[in-house]
Parts: sequence; structure tokens; C-alpha cells
Amino acid sequence: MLRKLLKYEFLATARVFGACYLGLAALSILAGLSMNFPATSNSIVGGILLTAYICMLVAVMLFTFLTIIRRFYQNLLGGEGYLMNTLPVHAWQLVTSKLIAALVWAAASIIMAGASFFLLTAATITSAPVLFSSLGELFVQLSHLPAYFEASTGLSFWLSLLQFLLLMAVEGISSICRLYTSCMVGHQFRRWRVAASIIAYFLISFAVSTLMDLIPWVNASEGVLFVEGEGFIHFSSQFWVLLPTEAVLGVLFFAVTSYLLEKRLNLD
Amino acid sequence: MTEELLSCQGLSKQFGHKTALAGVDLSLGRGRIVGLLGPNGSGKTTLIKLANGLLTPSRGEILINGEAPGPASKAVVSYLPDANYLPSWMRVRDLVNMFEDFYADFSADRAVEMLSTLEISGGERLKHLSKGTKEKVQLVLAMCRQAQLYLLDEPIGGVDPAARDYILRTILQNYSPEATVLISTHLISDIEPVLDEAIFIQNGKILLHRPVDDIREHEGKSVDEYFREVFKC
Repeated sequence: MLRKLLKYEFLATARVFGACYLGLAALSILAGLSMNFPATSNSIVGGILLTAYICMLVAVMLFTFLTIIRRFYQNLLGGEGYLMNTLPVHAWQLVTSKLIAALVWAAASIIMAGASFFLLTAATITSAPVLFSSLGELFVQLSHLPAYFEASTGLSFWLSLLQFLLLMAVEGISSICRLYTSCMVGHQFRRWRVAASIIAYFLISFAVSTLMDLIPWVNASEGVLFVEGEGFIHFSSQFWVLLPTEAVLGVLFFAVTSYLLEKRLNLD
Repeated sequence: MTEELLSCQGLSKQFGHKTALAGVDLSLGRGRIVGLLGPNGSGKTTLIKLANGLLTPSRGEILINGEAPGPASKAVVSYLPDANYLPSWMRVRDLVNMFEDFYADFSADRAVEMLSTLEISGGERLKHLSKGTKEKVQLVLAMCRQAQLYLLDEPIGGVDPAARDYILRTILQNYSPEATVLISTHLISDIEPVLDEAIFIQNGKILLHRPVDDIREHEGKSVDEYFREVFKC
């Protein structure tokens, strides 16, 4: 049943995301190309294209975030909820299908953002031989990265990368489930449900942030992304506290969401 | 399989200060067509939504085949809501595929045949269909299931008389004989000819639940006439 739910979830969202990503790719190429010609790069056209690209980038990120919320709220708690909540599936299966699709689109949007920047840079190089030699040079630099990382931090590059990706995934699950729980808490109110969901989100986030401050060895404000060697060593030691904490939070939010959807649903 | 297909015991539903259902006790057997009849705001839709697990009871319980609404009951209940509830971006054939994917008792072939008779194209998106056509699509999807219980909420409320006849014929021709069809409506004269039992509901309370023949015999009038008498303003 979960596979079938996922099939229709992607059917509902693939077209729009595909169009967004194509638009972003097109704008990044156009903006990059415009840098090659003095007529456009020095004029307002180049400026407009670059600004449009940056706006599109922000728009895609915002659209991804809003779609994650909308797919849960409208499809399960709105009019379409009459269809979804009468399917012969458990609530946890509905929540899981939304969560998996949300993670996929979040990851795809991040990857697409990186790819668009790469396309923009590549488009500034109009000569094919120069493009290929630049690409070759880039790959050579990238191949030295693991050794450089290990020399400056004393940590294994691949293990650190795996830890980073794992933590990103678990934090992603926890964050998305937190959004879903906020929606379900807001749904418990008869009126002003959207406002109640937003307030619930801020209250839950405040509670989580307070909890993180109480846990020793975790400095929540530092986040995860570092660039200096010492920073990575710091991240590595925090990993074994952050990962289980986020995992427990994710499981808790998922369980509360599923319970409220199964036992406390009141569709208008 | 328990004898009672649907049973309610002390079922109540509050929405804030408003009482939509007040201590409903009800029992439906199998193989009959039942009219859930009452004026607007009497609790018909609330009762049907509770049976589908779309609302949580404030008090009491509602059971389908002896179990609270859940995946098991949803697999044997076919629901036709009183609203457009299908995703408007979906094509008609996507919906047929979806029903076929999720409901083991759904007949895609019959659905396609009925849609073809109604000249509704499978490639059309719901948002491009008229309100009446959308309602026909919803009806086809609901009635092409071999469910044990059909819950039809105002299936003829918003359509023209010719379409009403079509809908009632569709219901009669497509429901499985061992199943029970519960039709909620306030247009009694249209559905009276097909009813086996009638439930009168008002202000969230069941006033009566009797076989239609019994009403005609003892009251000496049609159900429609008796309804007008009972619910006179």
C-alpha cells in the first residue's frame, strides 16, 4: 500500500517540480551565457538575468518548503482528505508516504540548486576546449579533497561525509515530522486551524530548542556546517549526541502525527 | 461475520457548543436499501462521516462489522461524499487506476464501460468537467465497488431530474445484493420507490427506523407524506 501511496504522491508533484527545475536550469544557463557578451554583461540585461536567477533559486527553495506543508495539509486535512482518509490504509502509511516524498523533493531541490550554480558557471565558458579542460581541472582538485581533509583534520573523509549525510537525513526527517505534528495539533482546534498550526510550530520549536540547550556537549547554535579543520573535529564529537537526539525527536513527531491522524481526525 | 453491518451505541458528536448527534442507537443489517431521511442540519452527514472514520465520536461508538472504523472497514465500505472530493488535477483514468490500486473489490472494466456510456473521456482532467459530470464520475467510482456497505451522502441533491433517475438506476443495477446501501437525502419522493427501510433523523436524534412497507401500511400514507407530517415546520 505504501508503494501505491508514493506512486500517487509523486504523480501529484512531479510535473510542477520538473517545471521548476527546468526553469531554474534555463535561467542559470541564460545568466551564465549573458556574462560572455559585453553588451549583456555590462548592461542591465545581465543584471536582470542574474537577479532573476537568484530570485528563481530562492523561489524554488520556498516552493519546496511550502509544497511539503501543502501536500500534507491539503491532501490529508482538506477536501482531498475525504479520499485519502477513506482509503484502506493506516494513518502511519499516509504519513510515511508524505514524508518520503518530502525528503526526496527536499534533497532534489538542494541538488538542483547546486547543479544550477554549476550550470551558470559552465555557461560563462563559451569555448568547448576551455570548458572541458576546466572540468578536468575541477575533477583533479576534487580528487585531492579527501587527502587534504584528512591531513588538516585527522579524520576519515568518507566517514565524515557519511556522518554528515546521515545527520542531514535524520534532521530532515525530524524537521518535516515537526511540521506535520504542528498541522495535526492545529487541526484539533475547531476554528483558526491554520493560525493554531503556526503557533503550535513555534511552540514546539521553542520546546525543542530548550531541550537541545539542556543536553550537554551540544551547542545548537553552531549547527553542522563548518569549513575549518577544528570545526569538523568539533562536529565529529557532537555527531554521536546530535544523531540520536534528532532520531528520537523524529520518531516522537512521527508517532504523534500518526496517532492524531488515526484517532483525532475531524474533517470539515 | 457479525450480524450487524453497522451499529451505533450512544453515539454523540459535538462541534463546540453545537450538538450534531445526540446519543444515536442504530443497527443496520445486510442486503437492504435504507434511506437516512431528515431536514438540513439533522445530522445525516455527521453520522456518515463518523462511519467513515472522518470524524471522531465525542461519546459512544460506531462499529462496522463489529470494529471501529479503520483500514479493515474502509476496505468494505464505499463512500460517496456530498462534495467534490477528488483531486482536480487528476484525469478520470488516473482515478480509475487509483481505485483499482487501492480497492480489491473495484471493477475497473465496469467503471470504464459506465464512463464510456456517459461519454466521459478518460483523458479529461476533473477540473475541466462540469459539476454534474464530476458528480457522475464520483458516483461511478463508488458504485463500481463490490462493497458490503455503500454510504451515499445526498447523491441526487445537486443534479437535474434526468440525472437523478440515472443515478438511482445506477445504484440499483450495481450494488451487490448482499450489501446494504444507506442513502442520505431530503428528496424523499425520488428515492422512496427503491427503499426497504427508512430512518428519520432530526436534531441529531433518530425519530424512527422502520421498514417502508410498515410505514405505508400503518400510517396509510407514503413515506414522503409521512415525512412531511413528522417534520412539519
